[in-house]
Amino acid sequence: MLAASSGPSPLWYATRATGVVALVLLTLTVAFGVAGTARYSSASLPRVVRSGLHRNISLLAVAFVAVHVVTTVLDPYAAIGLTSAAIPFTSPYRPFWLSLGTIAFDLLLAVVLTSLLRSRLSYRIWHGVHWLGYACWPVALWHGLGTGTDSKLSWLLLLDALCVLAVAAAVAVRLTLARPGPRAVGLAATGMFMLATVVFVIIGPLQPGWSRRAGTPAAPASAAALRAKPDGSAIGVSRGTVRPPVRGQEARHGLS
Amino acid sequence: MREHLHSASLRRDERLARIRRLSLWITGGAAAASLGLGTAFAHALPGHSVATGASGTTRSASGSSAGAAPGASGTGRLATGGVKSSGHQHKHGLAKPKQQPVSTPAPPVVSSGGS
Repeated sequence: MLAASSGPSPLWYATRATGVVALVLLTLTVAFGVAGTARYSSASLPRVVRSGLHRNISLLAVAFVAVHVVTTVLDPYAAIGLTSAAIPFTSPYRPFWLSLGTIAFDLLLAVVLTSLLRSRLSYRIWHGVHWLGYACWPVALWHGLGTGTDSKLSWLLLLDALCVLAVAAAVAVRLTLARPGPRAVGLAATGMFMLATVVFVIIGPLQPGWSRRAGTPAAPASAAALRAKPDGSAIGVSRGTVRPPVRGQEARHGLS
Repeated sequence: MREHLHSASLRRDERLARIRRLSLWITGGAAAASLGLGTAFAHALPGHSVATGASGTTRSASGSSAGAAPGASGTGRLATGGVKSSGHQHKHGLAKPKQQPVSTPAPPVVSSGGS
């Protein structure tokens, strides 16, 4: 109640910060993983070191994603419950884009659990689930772009672009080892994904009114504005409602 | 043979140490980046020191403003349009109230009970 009435809590900032860092760590994980499948090795980065970094960074990414999820659930700003954090399409707040994050989280959990149980699973099952983990990265990227409060920030767009380029470069290196047929398909898919991402950012988050189109509940914002007293001081709102946006947030959410 | 094993063991230890060192650097960097980003978001949130209520007027962010930084809650910082205010500013920046507190014009009339 207090947090809701006194502005964004530290949890909200932690959510956003850990989300950004988790995406960078996931990018490194994918890049090292793809480099591993390409049998990349150099004097400065031997295979053992690269493999160890892939494992450690992925665990670190899981830790950051866990903090991201926990702070999101605890923070009353968007009122996202535990159910919404684990089951896709159950959140009233930007359902589709939030669900992408949920799916990425579930995929990551599956990879971690199967990796922990690797000795009890067949290599085929573990490998299949591990490959699914690679889908976590583009899903997480689009989750960040679609849901992220800060998607319009230029430095964050640059960071996203660097992440895409890093993974694309790793995939391109990997595809040089593939046969001509799969190589062409892989390069085309990578190019299509990059193009789709750029187009999505241009016609989506960068356009005014994205907040409403993304599925931000319109009622809470206006209702919260109505709850403000005539003298300008807002009445405390209970958990489960969204506070009235400040000017900057209105602009970023396209509410203005 | 023994020297070969020894050198292989040394090489393995060196590589494991490198993994540990790099992992620690990345972990530290990620933690620092997370803290830095969180702080930056808290301070750079446009208008976080400007609270807009229904009247849309600039007002104190203390305990009531939407979008105010969490550090601002309870500190009573004065909001000036788009200008960030530091945490200690309110100690010197609080303006006197324009209006004196309204005093009670007359003591309440107490009537004896009708019974």
